[in-house]
This record gives sequence, C-alpha cells and structure tokens, in this order.
Amino acid sequence: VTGTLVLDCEAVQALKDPHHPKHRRAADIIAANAIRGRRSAPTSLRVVVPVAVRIEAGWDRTDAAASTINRITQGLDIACRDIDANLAVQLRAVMPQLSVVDATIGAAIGSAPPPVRILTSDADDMRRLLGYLGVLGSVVVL
Amino acid sequence: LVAPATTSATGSLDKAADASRDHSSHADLPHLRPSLARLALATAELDGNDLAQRPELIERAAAELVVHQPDATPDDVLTYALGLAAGSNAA
Repeated sequence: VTGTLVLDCEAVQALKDPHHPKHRRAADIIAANAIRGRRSAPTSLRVVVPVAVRIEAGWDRTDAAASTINRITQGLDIACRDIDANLAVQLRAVMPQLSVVDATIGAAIGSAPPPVRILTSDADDMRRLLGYLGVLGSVVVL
Repeated sequence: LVAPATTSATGSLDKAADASRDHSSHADLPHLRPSLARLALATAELDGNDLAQRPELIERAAAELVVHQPDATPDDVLTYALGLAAGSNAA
C-alpha cells in the first residue's frame, strides 16, 4: 500500500448503485487500483471513506443493497477524532463554502498516508483542500 | 486514524483484488465490465499520468498489446502507450 484513495459522497453513491450514471467510471478506478493490490509487491492505494461521507451517502454496510459497494471497494472507515474535528472546523473557517462533510474529507486528507488521490465530482473544492493542507496528492474527477 | 472496518487492510485489498479479477461487481451488468483499455486509463488517472489525456492512444495500445500479450496488465498498456507516444512525438 503506497498511499490513500479517498472517496467523496458522489463516489460512494456511484459505487453503491450499478445504475448510477457514474457507476462504471467509479468502478473502473476502484478496479484499476485493486489490480495493483494483487502484485507480489502491491502498489495499490488504501481506499478510505470518512464516516461522515458514508452517512451522507447512505452507505450502511449491513444493508443487503450495499453488497455491491461492500464487495468492490472494501473501503476502510476513517473515524473523526477530536483532532480531526478541530482541523475540519479550521478548514471551514478559511473555506466557508465547504460543507461539513467536505470538511471531514479535508481532515481525513490531512492525516492520510500520501500520496492522496480523491475520487470526487467536486474537483475545485478538493484541489483547494489539497493546496491548503499542503498534501501531496491529486484529484481524480468522477 | 484509519480504523479497520471488518478486516485488516491487507485482507481488504486482497478481497478487492479478487473482486476486480472476477469483475463480479458487474456479474449482472456484463456490458459494464471494464476493458483493459478502460482499466489502463483509470490507472493513468490514479497516477496523474499525462497519458490520461490521450485515451485514444491507450485504446490503441491496449488493442495492439493484447494480441501479443493476452495477460497484459493496465500498467503494461501504459508502458507500451508511452512508447507509442514517444514514437509519435519523434516522428
């Protein structure tokens, strides 16, 4: 594992629903990453999902309807600790347009092993987050 | 900060890899199964590779490479596409 792939709300929604217009696109990214995970020396990114994203996107791992996304992502939850909550608040102070959920994505980015890739439909805000946090990473537009 | 959901990270990645190998997420939607070219394009995007801006070159590379190397990986396609790009730039 050589870095982190963060999913935003629409990425989760797209992966959850095989009929979502961006499902194929999102699934391609996840599949391409997974292929690198089966090398003898894996170079895949760890797929992570801030819990606020999972809540916003309605991803209940125990719901049978979530079986597709459970199977194809195996994404790990990122809990929001107090230190992350503080960073999220600070991010919203400097970027008032950020939603609470996006601020928690920012907090997750801030402490994720780099390089960080963000699978998102909100490229502008995510690039701003990366720039503000000074994190080595980039956006993969959904 | 990263809390395991139900399995270890290594186990999770292995399972994700298995899912990808089987393309089982698309078992009921076979037309959505990713082609080698699409996987190569997605890999380029994950890497921030400039080849991501040249999907037609990746398509060509995948089509040509798979004839000689049926088990080619997306990274193999990108390596070959890079060579094609260098050749076209030199011409």
